[in-house]
Amino acid sequence: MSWVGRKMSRTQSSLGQLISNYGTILAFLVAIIFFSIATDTFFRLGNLQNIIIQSTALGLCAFGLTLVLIAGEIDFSYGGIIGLVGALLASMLQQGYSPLSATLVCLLVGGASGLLNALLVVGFNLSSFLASVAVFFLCMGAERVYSHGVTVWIQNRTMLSLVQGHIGPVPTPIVLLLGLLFVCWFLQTQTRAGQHVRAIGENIQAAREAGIRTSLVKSLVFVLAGLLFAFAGCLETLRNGGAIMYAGKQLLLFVLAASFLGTATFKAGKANFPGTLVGAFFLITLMNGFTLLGMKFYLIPLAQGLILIASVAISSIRRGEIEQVKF
Amino acid sequence: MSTPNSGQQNDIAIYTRGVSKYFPGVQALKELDFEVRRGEVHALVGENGAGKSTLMKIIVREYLEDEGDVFIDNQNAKGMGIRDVQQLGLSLIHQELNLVPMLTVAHNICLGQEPLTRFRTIDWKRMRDKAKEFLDQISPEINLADRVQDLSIPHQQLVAIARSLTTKPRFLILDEPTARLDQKATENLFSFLANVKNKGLTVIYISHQLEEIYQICDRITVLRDGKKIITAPVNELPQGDLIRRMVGMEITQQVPKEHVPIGEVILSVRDLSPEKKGENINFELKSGEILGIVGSIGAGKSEVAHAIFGSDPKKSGTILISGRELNTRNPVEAVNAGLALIPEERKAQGLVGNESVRKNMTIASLEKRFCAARLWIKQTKEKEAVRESITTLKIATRGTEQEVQFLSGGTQQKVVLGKWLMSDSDIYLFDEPTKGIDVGGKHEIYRLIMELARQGAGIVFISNELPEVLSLCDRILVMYQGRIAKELSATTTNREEILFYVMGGKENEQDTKQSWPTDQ
Amino acid sequence: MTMPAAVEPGAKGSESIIVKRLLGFSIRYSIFVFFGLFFAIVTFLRPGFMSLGNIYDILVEASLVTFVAFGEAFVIAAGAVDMSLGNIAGFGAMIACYLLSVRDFPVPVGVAIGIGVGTLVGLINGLFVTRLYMNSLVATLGTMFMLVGFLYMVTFGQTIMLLPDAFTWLGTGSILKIPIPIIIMAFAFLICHLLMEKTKYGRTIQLIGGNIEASRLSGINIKNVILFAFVVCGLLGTLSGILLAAHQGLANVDLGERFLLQAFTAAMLGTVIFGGRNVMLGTLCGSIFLISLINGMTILGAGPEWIYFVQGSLLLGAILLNYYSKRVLPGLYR
Repeated sequence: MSWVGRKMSRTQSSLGQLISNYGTILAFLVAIIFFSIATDTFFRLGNLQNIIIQSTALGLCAFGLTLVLIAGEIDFSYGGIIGLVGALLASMLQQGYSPLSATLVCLLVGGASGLLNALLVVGFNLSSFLASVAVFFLCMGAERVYSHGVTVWIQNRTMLSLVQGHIGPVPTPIVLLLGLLFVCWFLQTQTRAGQHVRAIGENIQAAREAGIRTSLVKSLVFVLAGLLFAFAGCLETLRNGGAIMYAGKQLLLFVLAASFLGTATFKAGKANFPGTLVGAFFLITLMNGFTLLGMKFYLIPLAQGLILIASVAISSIRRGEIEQVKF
Repeated sequence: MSTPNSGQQNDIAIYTRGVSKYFPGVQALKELDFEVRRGEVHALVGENGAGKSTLMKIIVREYLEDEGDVFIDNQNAKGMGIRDVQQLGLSLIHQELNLVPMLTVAHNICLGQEPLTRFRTIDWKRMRDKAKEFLDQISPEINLADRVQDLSIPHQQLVAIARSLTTKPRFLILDEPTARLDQKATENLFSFLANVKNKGLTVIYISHQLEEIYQICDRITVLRDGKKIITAPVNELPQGDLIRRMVGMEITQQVPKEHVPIGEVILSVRDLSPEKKGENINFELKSGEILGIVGSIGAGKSEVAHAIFGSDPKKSGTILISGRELNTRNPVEAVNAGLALIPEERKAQGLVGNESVRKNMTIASLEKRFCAARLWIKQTKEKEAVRESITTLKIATRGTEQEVQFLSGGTQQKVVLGKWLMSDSDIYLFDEPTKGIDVGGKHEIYRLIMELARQGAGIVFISNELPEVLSLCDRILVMYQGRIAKELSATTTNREEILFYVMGGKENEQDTKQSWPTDQ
Repeated sequence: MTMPAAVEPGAKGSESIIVKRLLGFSIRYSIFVFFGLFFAIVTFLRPGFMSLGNIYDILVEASLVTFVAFGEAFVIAAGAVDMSLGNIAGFGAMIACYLLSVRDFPVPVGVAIGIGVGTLVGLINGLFVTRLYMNSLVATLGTMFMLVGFLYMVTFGQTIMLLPDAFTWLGTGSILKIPIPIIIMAFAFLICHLLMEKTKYGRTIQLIGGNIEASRLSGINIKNVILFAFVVCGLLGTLSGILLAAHQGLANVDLGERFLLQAFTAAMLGTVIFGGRNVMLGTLCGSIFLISLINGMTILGAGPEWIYFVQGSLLLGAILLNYYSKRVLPGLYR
């Protein structure tokens, strides 16, 4: 049965529509206003810059996930890739490799994981849920074996300056983040390939009929996502100043949440890059604001969980039928 | 009626010679000769199972013929595959609307061939212009910038048709194109077809709608049981003749209809408008009665059944079971009230494939019959009941624990039927119950249905196979475009008359009254 | 236009049946073979592995895991997942311990309230899935997060240590030489097994997991059944937490962290071990195998990282086996 007709039949209240279309932005604005009023330290250039800088690794990683979501699949592997890449980067730098080669190796690892994902999903027709969880574990395990649980700190000045430095008046991470946003957004919305990814995600049959090489495109999506994850991993490690064990797990939920929040932005209804960035900013803003308010640190996950649920519920509630998890 | 095309070439665009095709259990096509002239709109009609789809699939090379030749544009299609005939300019528009919801109409039309700027990005303006070129041929009203997901279904279908034009086809096959269209959209389609005739586009038009065939087609070919019966210009084949040839002179009385006492009204449907399709459905069903519902694809038959059962939402309507109103917002209520639905898709909707016959059969009656204290399942009692059912219904299974996914189609259907029998339902809604089942299996199902009627159940029998409808049912409702077009009594009607209404024939048309000799 | 009425062939030739049987066999028994080999190797290297004392320890450890495993098994059977289970265990245990230690509640009351709280969370999870139509993965991830926050709130991060003896007896005591946790596990197993195989609820859960649409069209109240699965899961999860706290003698914020991975692994194994039948027994075996694996590896001197890695791989293997037997095998028949 084709999807046609299913979406047509649900008529919605305009409030409901408003929330599903712009919910995240509204919530974001509310949060900003709230924090600005509630504290006097929030709405300062330094703090706002901080928020953006802190959002960088999260945002980049979420871009990778967003790309996969647009293609109609899911990818959990970043949980493991980030940690693995961090461990590699830190220890390679410590062993004296040049920053460039270390970064390249990391990107290579990311790409390889993506390739593995592609093989499992496109080649063996496994569900992407399973496949990416598999890769997740593999990477986590590899990280564990490689680093033996030891945190490796980065001493290399050049690299650290990358995250802590500036390009012109603007801090480097911000340039990276916004730059990559633009690149991702542009490629996805303005090139054939980018639009084809969307087509595959929405109706793969239609894409095939249109002559699109779906297997190739999907595989590329996974590889690119892997690269983005690796890049994010490098940045996160640099930001932390070292490779902390299982750094990826921390980000796990944030990245998911950011991408889902992104669907309730800009009237998209589906995953999209600008929305994901807004989602990431929103989450970090919440963390930041709560911290400034002196909110107990443990309330933060509480709020985040609530927001994740709210952000997904607003779109899922329209569905009208129970969704099962496919193994 | 369409006017003959002036300047029409006598060139043959597509033809088949002696094509035969066999599927396990049925000879789908028998030495079929079929020809389509260049530039004409050629109607292909026939009842369900006559072979229309099969013939088309062979022409587009989705299937390969067992015997015979297929020529497209004077080239032998023997070695060709799907892509090859597409290169030749052949395009088939089928049931699946393959569009991408989030993309705009313009983009969907140009999907895969988006024009690029010199920077290798999509040139949106040129894409819009290109799409406009094709869309304007079909419908001036559809907005290029709208996302497909925001369009109505008729409009989506039109976009799909516009899309197929981008390959600049020279031969177009339309398979029941108006199934999803509304009045306005159909007019759009017809203007398009009228225009296109002059440009040499050849169209094969498969349809069940009398009105359309006579409005836009030039010639008609009638298929029956895999053979070509006749090909004639439209003005030489009046409706009555057409239908007679579709039906043939067979007098098939498949199951002797015995007299079953008909009791009180057991189901009342009032002003039912299912959400997906259908308006103002009204009918009553008495106990012991078998009510047939027939109609071509898109007529809305299944939707009625699901709306009554509560498995699909409805816009409005009241359902009364023996006088008591039923709140059918979900099937749970319906089943408790004694309704049963045997759905069209056995595997997807009727059975839990990886579970046993036993578990499938008792799924609807667990609490009613096999549970102690509404909780504990009495498995011995259960097994016994299932074994009994297996014997009574003659279910071909190795035992009660056999997984249903490994049973044959007919056997699976019996399990589904058995499930409802066990729950002592009073009203049975059958949706195409004999689809894909062999003759022997069909007869067994008929026998079981008759038995149900004899025991006082009320039966709604949805089907498009007219012989079985005629022999089983007491009354027949013909649905057309979401409404009940006509009610007929099985004893006084025949296949031609039913088919006439199925195809949208209207009562006041002249040649109806005379031409239905009742040969029952 | 439908296809002409083609007849579907019935069961194919006998060769396919043999192949199917063989593969089914191999999946089922490969797990036993694998563990059998593992046990043999470990015992060979360290005979102490098979000592009564060690087996005793393994069983007690395993019993703590079985409850979450059973809970997760219910949810998986219904076609969903519960990622918050570890935190439900921790939270319920935390509440109970708080009431017992700080507020001096009588043990039965404290434990009951703890269980009640966990069950409530299960209910909330179920509501998210059945009333808000959320994907269970995302919904339970969200609850997981919220629970982490709540966990801290109860004790502000501090560990509760002064637990009444009556309570710790639950986790360390024994009746007739059999440790209490094992006794409770036996009961739980019995109840869960009966629930799943012999009651209306278990049956409908399995049917929904098999084909939710067919179940819906057969009159099953799928919303309530799935809700039930989540509630039971929450209840069982809390048991694990409480018993663990009783066993350890303390409760801290990390309590129950490890349960998620273990529960999942055991439950997944449970769906494959006996060919999909007797899921609860399979889950029980899965828990025992898993804990023996960890125990064995520890005895052999493997570091925590390797253990974690192997656990993860085992889970993965279980998921793949499950996928293989559900999707690929039936396809071989056609």
